[in-house]
Amino acid sequence: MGREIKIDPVTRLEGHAKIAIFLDDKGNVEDSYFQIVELRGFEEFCKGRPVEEMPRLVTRLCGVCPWAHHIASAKAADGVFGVEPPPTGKKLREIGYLAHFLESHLEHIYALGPAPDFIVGPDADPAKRNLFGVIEKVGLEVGKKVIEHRAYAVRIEDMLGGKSTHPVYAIPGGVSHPITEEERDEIRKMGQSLVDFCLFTLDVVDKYILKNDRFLELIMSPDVYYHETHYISLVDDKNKVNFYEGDFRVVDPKGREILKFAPEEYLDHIAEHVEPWTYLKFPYLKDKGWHGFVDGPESGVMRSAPLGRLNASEGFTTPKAQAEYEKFFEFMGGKPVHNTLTYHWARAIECLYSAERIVELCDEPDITDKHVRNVPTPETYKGEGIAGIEAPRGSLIHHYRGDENGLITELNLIVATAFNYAGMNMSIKKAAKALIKNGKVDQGILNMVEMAFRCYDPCFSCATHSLPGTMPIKIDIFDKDGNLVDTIQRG
Amino acid sequence: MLFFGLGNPILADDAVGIRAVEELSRRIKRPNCEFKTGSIGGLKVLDEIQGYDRVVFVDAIVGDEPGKFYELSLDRLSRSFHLTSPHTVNLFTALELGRGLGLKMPREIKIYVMEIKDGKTFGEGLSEEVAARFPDFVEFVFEKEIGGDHAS
Repeated sequence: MGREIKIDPVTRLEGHAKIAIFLDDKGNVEDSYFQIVELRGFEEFCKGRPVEEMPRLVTRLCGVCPWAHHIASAKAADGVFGVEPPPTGKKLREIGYLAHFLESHLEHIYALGPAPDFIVGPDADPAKRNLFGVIEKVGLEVGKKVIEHRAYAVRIEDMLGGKSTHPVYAIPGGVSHPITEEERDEIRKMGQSLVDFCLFTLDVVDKYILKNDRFLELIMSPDVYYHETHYISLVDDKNKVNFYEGDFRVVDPKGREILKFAPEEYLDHIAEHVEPWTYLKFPYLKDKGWHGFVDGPESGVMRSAPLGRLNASEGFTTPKAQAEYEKFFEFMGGKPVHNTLTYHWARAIECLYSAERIVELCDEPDITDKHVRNVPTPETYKGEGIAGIEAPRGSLIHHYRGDENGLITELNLIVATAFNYAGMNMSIKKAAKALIKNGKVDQGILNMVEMAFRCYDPCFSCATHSLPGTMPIKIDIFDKDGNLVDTIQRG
Repeated sequence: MLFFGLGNPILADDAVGIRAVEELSRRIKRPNCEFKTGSIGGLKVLDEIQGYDRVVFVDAIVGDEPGKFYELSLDRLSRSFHLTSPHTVNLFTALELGRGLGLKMPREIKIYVMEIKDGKTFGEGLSEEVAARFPDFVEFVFEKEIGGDHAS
């Protein structure tokens, strides 16, 4: 008799979602679905509102990645008003955004993803697989370091954005205020300390994950956490990763560049597939078409975010991150790397880049310049703006149209998590197939299925315009007729 | 002490905690009371509550009776909309973590919640049921925190 296992809701996931795994008569995985719940009406809510209000409004989409939406929105609003920020305004936006990358990535590494899964262990009691459990293993001093450096990132966000969770900083044409010499010095000092801490974090990855034979086998195995997909990232004119600006570059599963386009051309290259069982759409490569949840050169599925960025770029502009990028591909045996668990390692390298880049920007002679905004005029007004940036969780597109009064008439968002949504579904199914055999299901195995998508650090708060929040995990097991036959409860 | 209103101000009833704290900030004029609002979870809880002696959270909650309100104990926290963190660093864990790391954590934490009807539709108004009981909810929190033992 077939049965359905629901993992509902998913632990350590931003937002609401659930996994349903369908078993066949023999208790092996037949299919799986990673479903997302719905929030309604954001587009309608925005219509008729002033375009310049959008950068503040979109931070309310999500308490997890407000800066990503804030920056993308400000850039789209720049486009609508036909105005470019002055160099210092652009650099200050970037500093705030890099600090957000650090806050987001570090929290994922130590509280949500690799540290709980690997340092505490994938088979450990779920009650211990959290930041607490990590600190028990690595020691209180390391715990203090984690909290201290995350707080540095938040402090930089606060200094620029007014408040880290809902920044009010980027406005059409620039930012709301310059920084003083003293503020620059304070940011630089924290940035330098973050560089050292990120190097330490890469040592943690090396010591606890790469030097553990069992984990290494899990990471390297093509059987479970592995998909040969296309990859996408925003890159600069030298194909180096850039979170703030550039062109989108897409490479095929062999790592060859097949597309490079400006964010303004996204509709020519990216389409979205709809499935009846979920509210989140699946972006795919238009040229390839949608062929289902499959990998390979003919599939339109692409992956984004840290591993996607490393694969789709030619490295980083900062020296230490570049050295780590080279080490990454050397260790993994060449480029591209399809091993999904390496998302975590790639994320740690991006932390280092972010910290280095903050220091680099602080050293720019014009960073304390007072001219931080070009004020739009009626003459420059264009009425349409498209922004493409890299968010911690993947590529992010904001597209606005405004009327002659500067009021929103149309908006389209393709959010970061959506870019990896097809990949997540594929990863869950593959992991479930490999790890659930003959109906044998226990906590450790289910956690390893969850590990498949936690690599992507998914956040569905904005994906379906939902709020973060979670509950203890509950797994319902149903028979073929929909009768509840068993429940496994966590928390 | 700190009053913290949790929720999303543009997501219908989800804003009820924020509205309540905004209302309390208009009524309570005491130098030792501070008021904040926002949607926080996980380690952000640590950022916000450090250094305060007492913290009062006001939040929305999923329930069967929209408009019903009550005080929520820490062990029932899993039902709270915002204090159960997506990071499994929920409020309880965050407190323990903060104390373990030697941070100055509040001596006392209170949580007041109101059951809501709609927390999934973008909009700035409250549902009829929630709006009808809202003044009583504010009064309830005010009486509990200011009108009684903590009047000083």
